[in-house]
Amino acid sequence: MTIIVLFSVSLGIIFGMFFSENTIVYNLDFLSQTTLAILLFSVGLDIGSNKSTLSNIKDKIYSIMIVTLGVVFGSLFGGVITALIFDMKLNEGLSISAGFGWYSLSGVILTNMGNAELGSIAFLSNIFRELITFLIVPLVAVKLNYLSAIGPAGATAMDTTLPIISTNTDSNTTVVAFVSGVLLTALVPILVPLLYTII
Amino acid sequence: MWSIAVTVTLGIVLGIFIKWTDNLKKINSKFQILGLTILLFFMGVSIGSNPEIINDLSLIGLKAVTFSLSTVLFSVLTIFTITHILRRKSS
Repeated sequence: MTIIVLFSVSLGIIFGMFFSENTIVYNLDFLSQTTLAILLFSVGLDIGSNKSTLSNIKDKIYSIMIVTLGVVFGSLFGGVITALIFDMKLNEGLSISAGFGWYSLSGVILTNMGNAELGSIAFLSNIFRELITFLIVPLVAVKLNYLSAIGPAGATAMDTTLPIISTNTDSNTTVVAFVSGVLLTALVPILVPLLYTII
Repeated sequence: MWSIAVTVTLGIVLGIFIKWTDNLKKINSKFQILGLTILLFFMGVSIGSNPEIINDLSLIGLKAVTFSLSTVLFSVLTIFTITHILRRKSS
C-alpha cells in the first residue's frame, strides 16, 4: 500500500513539473473531485454492506469521542511544540495546527486574519498532513491499533483520507473515522479564528 | 468538502439494499484501491504543477513540515495512550 502511495504521488509530481500545460492540469480540480466522489461512493457501499456496523453506532460514541478529542488535543499540543521550536507566537502555532488537515480553509482564514506567510504555512502544513496520512495510516493500523490510525487524518477522515483508512482497517473503524472527520471539519472554522484572536 | 461527503451517505443507503456476495465485496475493495491510486496521482500533479510549492520549500516549507509531523505524531500518541489505558482498565 505504502509503495502504491509513494509511486502515485511521485509520478504525479514529476508529471506536474514537466507537463504543466495540458488538459489534466487545467481540469485538475474537477478530475480529483470527481474521482473522490466516485471513490467515496464505493466506501459508502462498503459501510452499507455491513448492516451491523450501522446498527452499533451508539456503541461507537466513546470511540468517536476518543478520536475527536485526541486529534484536537494532540494537534494543538504539536502546534505549541512547533511554535516553540521556531520562536513563533503561540496563537500562530495553535491556529495553524487547528486546521486539522483542511488546508484550503485554514490557509484562507489565516491569510486574511494574519498575513500571507502565515496562510502559506497553514496551507502547506495541512497539505503535508494529508500526504503523511496516506503514508502512515497503513503503518499505524498494524503497529499500534485501528483507532490510532485515524489520528493523522483529522478533518480529512470524512473525505480524502477515508479510503486509505477503510482499506487498512475494518468497517467499524471507517464509521468512527467518518463521524470524527465530520465533527473536526465543523470545528475548523470555529477554532482557527478563535485561537488566533483570543490567545 | 460537504458536497463530496454526500456521496458517502448515498453509497451507504444503496449498500444497505444491495444483495452482497463475497465476489461483489472483493470487486468493490479492488475498485477503492484503483480510485485511491488515481486520486494520489492527481494530488501529485497539483503539487508538481505549483511552482510556489516546489521552489519555495525553504523556511516556510520547513515550518510547515514540522507542523504536520508534530500534529500527526501527537494526535496518534494521544489516541493510542487513551485506548491503551482504557483497554488495561477493562481487562
